[in-house]
Amino acid sequence: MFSIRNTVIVATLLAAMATIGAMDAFGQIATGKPGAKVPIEIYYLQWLQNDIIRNVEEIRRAKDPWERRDLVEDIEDIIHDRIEFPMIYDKADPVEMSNMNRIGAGSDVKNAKDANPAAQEMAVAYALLGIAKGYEGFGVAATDYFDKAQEIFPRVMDIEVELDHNQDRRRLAEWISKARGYWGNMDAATRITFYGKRVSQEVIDSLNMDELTITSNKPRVSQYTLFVAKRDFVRGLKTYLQTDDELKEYRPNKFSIYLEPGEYRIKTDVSSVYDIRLKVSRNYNENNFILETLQSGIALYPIPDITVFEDEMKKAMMKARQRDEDADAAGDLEADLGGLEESADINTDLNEDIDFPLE
Amino acid sequence: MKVKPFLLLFVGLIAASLMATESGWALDPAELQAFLDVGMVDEVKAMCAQNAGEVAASAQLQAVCAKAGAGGVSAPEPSMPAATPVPTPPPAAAPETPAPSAPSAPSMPAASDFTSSPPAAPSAPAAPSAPGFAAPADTPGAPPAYVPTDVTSGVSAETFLSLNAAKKYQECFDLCREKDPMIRTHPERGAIRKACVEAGLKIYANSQASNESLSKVINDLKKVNKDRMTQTTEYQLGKTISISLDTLTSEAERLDKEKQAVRYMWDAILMRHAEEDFKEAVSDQIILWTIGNGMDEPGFVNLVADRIFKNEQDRGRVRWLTARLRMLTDRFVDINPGKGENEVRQSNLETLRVWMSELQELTYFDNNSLVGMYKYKGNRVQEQYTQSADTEGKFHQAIWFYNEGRNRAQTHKAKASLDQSIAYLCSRYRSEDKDNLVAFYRKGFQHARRGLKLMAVVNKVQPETGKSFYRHEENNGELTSALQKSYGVNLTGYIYNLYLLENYKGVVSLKRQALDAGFDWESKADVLLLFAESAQKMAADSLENENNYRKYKEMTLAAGNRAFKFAIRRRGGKAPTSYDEDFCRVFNAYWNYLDGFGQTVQAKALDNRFGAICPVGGVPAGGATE
Repeated sequence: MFSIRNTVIVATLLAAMATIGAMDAFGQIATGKPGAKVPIEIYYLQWLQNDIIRNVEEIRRAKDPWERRDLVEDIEDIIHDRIEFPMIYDKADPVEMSNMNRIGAGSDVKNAKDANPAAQEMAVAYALLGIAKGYEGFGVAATDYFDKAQEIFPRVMDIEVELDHNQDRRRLAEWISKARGYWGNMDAATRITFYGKRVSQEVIDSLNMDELTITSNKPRVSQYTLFVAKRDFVRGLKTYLQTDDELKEYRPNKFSIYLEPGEYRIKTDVSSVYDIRLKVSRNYNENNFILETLQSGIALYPIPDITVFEDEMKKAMMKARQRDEDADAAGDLEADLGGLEESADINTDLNEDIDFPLE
Repeated sequence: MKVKPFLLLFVGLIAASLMATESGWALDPAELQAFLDVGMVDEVKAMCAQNAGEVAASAQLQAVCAKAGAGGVSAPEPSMPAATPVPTPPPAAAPETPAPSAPSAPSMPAASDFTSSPPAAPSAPAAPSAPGFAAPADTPGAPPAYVPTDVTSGVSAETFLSLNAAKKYQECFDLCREKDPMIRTHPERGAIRKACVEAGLKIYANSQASNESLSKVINDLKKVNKDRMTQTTEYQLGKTISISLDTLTSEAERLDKEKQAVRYMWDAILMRHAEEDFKEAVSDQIILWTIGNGMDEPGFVNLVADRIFKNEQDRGRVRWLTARLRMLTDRFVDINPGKGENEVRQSNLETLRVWMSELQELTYFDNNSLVGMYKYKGNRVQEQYTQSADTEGKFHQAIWFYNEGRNRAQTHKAKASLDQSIAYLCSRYRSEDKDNLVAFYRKGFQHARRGLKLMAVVNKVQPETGKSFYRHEENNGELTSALQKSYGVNLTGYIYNLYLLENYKGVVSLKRQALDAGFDWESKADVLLLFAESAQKMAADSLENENNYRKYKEMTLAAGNRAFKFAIRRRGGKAPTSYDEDFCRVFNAYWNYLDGFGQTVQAKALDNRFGAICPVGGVPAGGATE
């Protein structure tokens, strides 16, 4: 359980950080067990990082995927409970989605030097989770976390980390390239993203998470992959969870799970009413779903293929621009010739060709 | 080393923290009286001192405070009163026989050390100075306004506290159940629920309650946490859940609850550490939560170690728990005991540091923290064995832990290390019962012998491969040397007690072990002479059987000769030129064997050489010159 108390403490940290001058983001590359004298809030994050590293250390030693599950979940919990919510989501502007990955007010992650000093510590945490997911056999998930880490702190891959009982120190990029060879061969899963829409807290509370199962029509899909997908799904649903009958902080409205392409069935305790089927494509751009709560269950709908829409729009705009240019050229000619009326007709035709509203 | 309890500290801390939560509220004379009734005088004094202004304004409060001896309420106690330094207890009596190198056992402070060390009393640590950290939940913060009684129900927190103070836990618990709907909205619900939890835990501890009651306590604790989470309640919640784990029938539920318990306790320690600004001198509260009081109050480490044992078949869970132990040890392995406020605190911190360091290394032991935890637990228990009959149970318990670890160990090195732990412990065994002594010296000797055989392989193979068996493994030379010492000490004790039991046949059956060990130890001459003596007696009993007589005669002379050579070897290979007690004792014994078995030429030759400096009957005229 993550306590409200902890949230308060960590959230208060960020407030204090505003008073601390921005430190050189590259001056304190202290990962693993904290060593150098650093501001206490950074120290706190470094301890969390050390905790994550201890989990990664055991993940690397484990031979069986099932042995890694508790450890990966622990890293996810540390990031979720101690970093994401108190330090990111609580601080984000609900209006602007891009703020979700920023850390603290006024932080500009595009310019690392001006970024919040906690940025690199948080980014390393995400990168470590990526490494953990990689070792677990989910390469796409790993890449997603690396991307997120780089979004928070662009030069995260240059940070040195000691993964092996604080003895072996390498750049994160090296750790990743070393490990990628290991997980690259075994990763068959792709990303499936769920966007929350009209999610009722009451319904989610009433769902019996133990009863939730994800099954595949392909026998070769491993039980472990299905189990992890289920856990990720439950965790994702819980991001909507409100506690103490009130929800003041902003919460993310999307989450992802990772499965091999194929057809799946998500079963909840009310699945006899709502039979949820999931068709997973190799192309993860096609695996976007809307998640809704209906009466006492949940439902998933594929999101309309926005990419097709966007492509058509681009083509139409290019076509329109071309016609504009042609028209302008023709207009100039007409003007030269004194035939101004026809140019209006050309414009009318142009508008008729566009069968969607231009915004 | 003797380990003394932190128990009083624990009780004090719990009580103090319970009160500290309310200390920002108005003082209630009846409540203070209730605390006085249960003997919490110091805590009441502290509260009086802390709320001097309030006390001065109330005659009732003044009366109660006066009873507590807090007359000078205007002079509050210092927040961290200097504890009376208590000298570190002396080490446990050394074995009569030379002891092998002792494992790094910390000097555990006495119970009085901890009680005299300031607990997190109401006046204790103020809000940390760390920027960004809110005031600790357990210290006076800004609680809601205190309302003395609930006018709607006529029940106040005092009612519950009084029942607990009068040790009417069942009554308190029943009242909690009965008034549960009222408590939910009661302005004093935090204090009431704490009282309910305390009552429930007491009932459970006294085995008067069912598991159902325990789950009610857990629910109450959850409610307390929800109302106002403190690290104390969070830790208590985790600990209470851990008590219930082995009663759960569903494996999935057990695994889930186990995670919860560990996380609650871990969160409490982690956040307390943060609130203390990650200082190098952590508070006694953290020490207590982390390693317990060394006696009857287990800490987080004990819980995790126990769960590792229980989850032996679930490697994933063992790995998770192992990582958790390393996270914990990372935090405290580098603390600076020198920064403790006084000797007692320094001693406590040193204990924590040493134990954490050992624990961290043992998580790598045999590449399997399960085996490491058996060794760690064995080490902690064996420290409590004081070679007295009172603590004999600890001796057997420690042997059990080491044996369990030994049975699970995979690498030669780990097996040898555990053999050494068992052998060392056996060498410290003391008992009036000679048969027991023989049994445990034999056990110790056998383990030492087995360990040495394993080390012979390790010493041969490891230099060739250059690979270590596991991280933080012991130095080969040191481990071999320790095993040799244990071998010698146990063999000496074994043979000596067999001799006392007049089991001479038993002694001579150890011919190979005594004569062909291939290395020396402190009491080797005694072993050889006892062996020679036993063989001589066996020879005397075998006069009828020529073959046996000759065999025992040869044994006697061989053992005497080895003893004599050892005596010279101990002196750097040089024979003494003047009287030397040890040498002459061996010389005289050997000479007697030679002479007794008719080896007169050799006896005479020896006499010619050393007779002058080792006369029959002791010191030569003129006294010892060396």
